[in-house]
Amino acid sequence: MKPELDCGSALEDISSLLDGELNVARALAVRTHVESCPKCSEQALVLDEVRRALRTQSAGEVPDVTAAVMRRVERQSQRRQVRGPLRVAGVAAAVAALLLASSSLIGTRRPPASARASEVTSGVRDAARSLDAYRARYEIVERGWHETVPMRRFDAEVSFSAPESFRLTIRDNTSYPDPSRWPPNDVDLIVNARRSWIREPDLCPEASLPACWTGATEERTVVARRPFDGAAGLPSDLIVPLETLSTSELFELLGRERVLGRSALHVALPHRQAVPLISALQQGGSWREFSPFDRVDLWLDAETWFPLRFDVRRGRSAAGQVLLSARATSFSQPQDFAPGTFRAPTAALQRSGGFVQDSEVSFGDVRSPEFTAGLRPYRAGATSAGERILSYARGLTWLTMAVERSSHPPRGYPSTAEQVALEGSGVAYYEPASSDSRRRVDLYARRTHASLESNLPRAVLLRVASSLDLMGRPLPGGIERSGLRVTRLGSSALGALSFAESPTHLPPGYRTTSSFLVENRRGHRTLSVYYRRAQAEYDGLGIRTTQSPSVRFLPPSFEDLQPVTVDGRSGRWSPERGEVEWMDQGVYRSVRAPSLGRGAAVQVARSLE
Amino acid sequence: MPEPDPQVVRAARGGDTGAFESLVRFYQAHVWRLCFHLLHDETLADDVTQEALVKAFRFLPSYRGESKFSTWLYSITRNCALDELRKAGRRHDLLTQLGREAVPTHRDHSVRIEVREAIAALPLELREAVVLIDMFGTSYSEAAAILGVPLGTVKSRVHRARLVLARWLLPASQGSTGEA
Repeated sequence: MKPELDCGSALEDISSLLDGELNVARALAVRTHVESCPKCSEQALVLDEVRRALRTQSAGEVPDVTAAVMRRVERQSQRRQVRGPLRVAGVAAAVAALLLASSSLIGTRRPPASARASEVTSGVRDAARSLDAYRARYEIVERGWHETVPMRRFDAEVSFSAPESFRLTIRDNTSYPDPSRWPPNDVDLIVNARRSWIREPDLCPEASLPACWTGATEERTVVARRPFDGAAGLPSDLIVPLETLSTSELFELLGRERVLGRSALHVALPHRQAVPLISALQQGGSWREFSPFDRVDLWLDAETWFPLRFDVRRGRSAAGQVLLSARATSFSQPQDFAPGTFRAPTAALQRSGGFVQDSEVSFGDVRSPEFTAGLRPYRAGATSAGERILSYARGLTWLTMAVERSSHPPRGYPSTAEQVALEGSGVAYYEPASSDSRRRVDLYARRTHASLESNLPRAVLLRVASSLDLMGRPLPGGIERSGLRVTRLGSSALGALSFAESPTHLPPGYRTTSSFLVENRRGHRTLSVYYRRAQAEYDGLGIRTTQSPSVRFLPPSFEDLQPVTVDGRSGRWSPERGEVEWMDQGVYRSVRAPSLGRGAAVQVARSLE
Repeated sequence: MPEPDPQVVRAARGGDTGAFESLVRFYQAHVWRLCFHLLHDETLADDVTQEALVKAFRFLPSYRGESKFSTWLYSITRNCALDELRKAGRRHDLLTQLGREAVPTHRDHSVRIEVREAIAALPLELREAVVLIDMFGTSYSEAAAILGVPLGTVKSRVHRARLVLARWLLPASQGSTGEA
């Protein structure tokens, strides 16, 4: 049969023919043509060779990101951000933040109280260090979890035996409209030095409840835990709110009151500062969400610093509706716990932390820190990934040091960390704690990377870092990779960039922590500057400005964006990213402030000059 | 591309981090390679791989099994990579490039350049199509779903990409016939 195709038509289909993507009739026609046409058949050979060259490319070395991903996922999971229709929840939270952000937070700057607020901070720190055992029971009332279930009631019990044995039991006493169809929010968490175990209802999006619930519960076990693995998610702030009250600038001390028949100190703070406390109850199961600016009132026992009661209210006002209330019904410091209290069962779903305990583990030429803030040596060992780990603990306070061999500059260039000069140990890189990660300091010495993590305050952690016999080297001011040049800039260098503007207004306490200039081969430049609070916990990104004279228009986006105006120029706000973006006379500018909300981000944006 | 056990996906959807971890282990290399080919930057690829996998966990409750799991995951990965390109202001660069013929005229055809380098030099539109089809073995319809374009567009982009690559990768006598 004479081929009916011409070369032009056949050529276009040769790739599809090679890929088996043509229907039978078309494939036959193309193949017949190619076989009889020298030009097309050579073309087919060429394309096939390219195709095979691509398909036989070796994958090359690919990094293992499992641990890093799972750390973030575990945090998310524990906070149950996965349970609902996320996009809607995110927008709702952003809208709520917008409504609330215009005025300042709950009077955090009242000087007369701050002297005593600092006493609260030091009192809590001392209590956390000296606590060896604790047990308390709580009654919890939660409102607004689901439109069909306006109120839920729980009993909770928390037990702790220093340094890292925890047990949290939550029992749901709610009268559900049809009890067999609604998941009781019963949660069990047990953590000990070797493993952790959690049991919770099989979760599904709340908006689809009760239809989506399978009636099942879920159990998971982690074995071979690294010391203090998952510590950011342990319910330790329920015992002594060390992280929540870590710095006196972030809460307001309202005075002494009687609560549950005891003398108590009353403090107030926005929810975003109280995440470690509130989320301590939300290790598993399904819970309502809060806006970062919802008000938290907390009453601490004046003698022991244990939380006697805490309420989360809608909005900033003390008169807002109570969304969650927890009251202690008893607390004690037991001498002993019943056998098996901290025994973690084995679940079908199990993963390993990869840690092998070995008190003799060799750190090569790296010595342990000379100063450990009074914390005592605890578990040591190594991971399958070649990290060697030391840990220290006292009461609820802990510190870990991980050491690994590494190249310089390291693969994971800590682009957002703050560079800090240490006394006698060179340069370190500091990252505050966030809901995803713990407070940490990294030192990059010759062939060695040491990483400290802790719930000690920033200044103390930096002192520990200073006492290492390692000389932390500054990461190169610039690195060049795949045609991109990344340069870390000092504050004086910013002035030399004609397109760079700096905010004249930042929320209280924020200051510049790092600045980066990225240039590509064509000389296109993008400047990113990070601002954070020195003492802040759970601050994550802080505030970031991005400016580029090379981007000529606001890039296309599939997100739901809201229009905003910045100095008369129209821009847009992304609730998902917490970022305002606009074009300013040919320069792209953006301010990203996910923990602050739209009002505050726009305020910073308008102050750029 | 092998697909994961539906039971594992279901468990991960329900928030089971252990099940999700096995998905991460299984797919991370693929996700990283896709990021790398879209970004040409190992450090960025590391970051975006993490971002994409964490996002996948967040969005898992919305995965209804209408597409293959890998297709769904690659869409997320691609979106994260494009976000990253956009953030660094390089997307503009690439968009501008798309309007032009991308073949570098100075190429010395006697030198066989690295496949990886050649892919990196392709305009984004051609690159992502050929990477998905040839390096990830997706079908045209899967690639269309991931890229959000019609099937015919995938077909022509893959073809054009291979023609350009033929000119760069193969010796002159062979590759020069590549452009019809």
